[in-house]
Amino acid sequence: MAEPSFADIPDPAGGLAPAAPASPVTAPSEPSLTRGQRGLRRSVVLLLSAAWVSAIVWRLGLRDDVSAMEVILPLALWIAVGAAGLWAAARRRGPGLPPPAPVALAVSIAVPALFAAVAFAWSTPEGLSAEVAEEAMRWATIRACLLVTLLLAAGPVALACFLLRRSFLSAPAWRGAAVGAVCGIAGAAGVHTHCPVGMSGHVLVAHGIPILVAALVGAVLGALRGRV
Amino acid sequence: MEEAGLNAAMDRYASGDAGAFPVLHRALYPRLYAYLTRMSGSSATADDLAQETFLRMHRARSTFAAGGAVLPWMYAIARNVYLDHVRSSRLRRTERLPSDPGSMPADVSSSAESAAIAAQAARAVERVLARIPAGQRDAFVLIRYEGLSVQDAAAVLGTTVTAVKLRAFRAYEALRAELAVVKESAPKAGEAKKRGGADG
Repeated sequence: MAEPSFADIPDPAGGLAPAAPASPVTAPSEPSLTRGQRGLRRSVVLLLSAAWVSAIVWRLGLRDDVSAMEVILPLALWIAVGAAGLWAAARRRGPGLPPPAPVALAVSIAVPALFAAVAFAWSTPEGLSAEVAEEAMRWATIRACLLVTLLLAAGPVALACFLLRRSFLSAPAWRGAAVGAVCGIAGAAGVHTHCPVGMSGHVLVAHGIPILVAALVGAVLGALRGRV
Repeated sequence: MEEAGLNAAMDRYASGDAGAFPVLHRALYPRLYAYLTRMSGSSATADDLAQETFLRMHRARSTFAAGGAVLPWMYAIARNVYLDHVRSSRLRRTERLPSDPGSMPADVSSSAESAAIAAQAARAVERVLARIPAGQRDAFVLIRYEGLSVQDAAAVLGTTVTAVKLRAFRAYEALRAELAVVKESAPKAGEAKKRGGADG
């Protein structure tokens, strides 16, 4: 589409004399973070989020086969998905503004989708007895993992809410959802180091649904408190 | 003040240099005021909204990216301030913008007719801007009146370059159509006046 010339449209406010600001003007007295202080805060939040997940997993205990490749590979992939999602949602474009809202939307959808894809790819139903499989899909088992994963994700979500309030210039709900999804996959990765069940059904429901919940919570918090 | 100087001032302010704020305020206020006047339709409201915008810029200064451009950032915040104002007051733009009496042609003999046509055109633009979807109005105002590039306007609005081009183009088409009607009716009105004078 050729760019039209808009110059033929008159400016109805063109004759306005700009109001002279009162002088001298001083900076508002209300305290506000400087860039350096925000950077420090961001580092502390990331460390505290990692500490939160690590402390809970340590308290619950690591699974016996945590060093096996079939555990480490999906774990590494989920961490990589989370890191990529965070980078995509947080990177700045040319004039230093955030990426377009469709990027945040894409991250909100891609993070849980990729989690599910990895869960399917590394599903380990073979060799499981019928009893074990049935136990893995019992509501009591699923509920326990669901609650643990939600707890693991809750810490990063709360810390992100604290760090990112009044930070989003546009599309605060979608950006909040993207951050929430990243926090959710951090929780799912954490519970994966504790829960020995590899069945995709269990992983998707018990470890995956909290990603969606965290994304939803992030969207709500973003809409309520996220916009500058 | 040139844009590089403004960006450097904002960088200093984001890093904690309070002395940069008066520099930014002096340089940005006229543009901010004009933009908010176009959006809100009221110069009094625009002044209040401009002060609120500077306050939010102060609160959010730590989020200003190092080496970023302050103008698109300011416009994004100003747009949010305006949107919050609209939501809280639950008003649609009903007040007219002050029409532009300043850009009158020097030709004295046709100045009255030209002034009338210019005023009609200005009112037509106001009507269309008040009527079209907010997304189209925002894109058009940022590009046409605030002088932002399409890329910067897209960044301000949080959308893609393609979406901004499309919205601005649709606004432009609506404005052109309305102005064509105004131009068509203007000579007929002039002739009717002359006939009335001759008969009278």
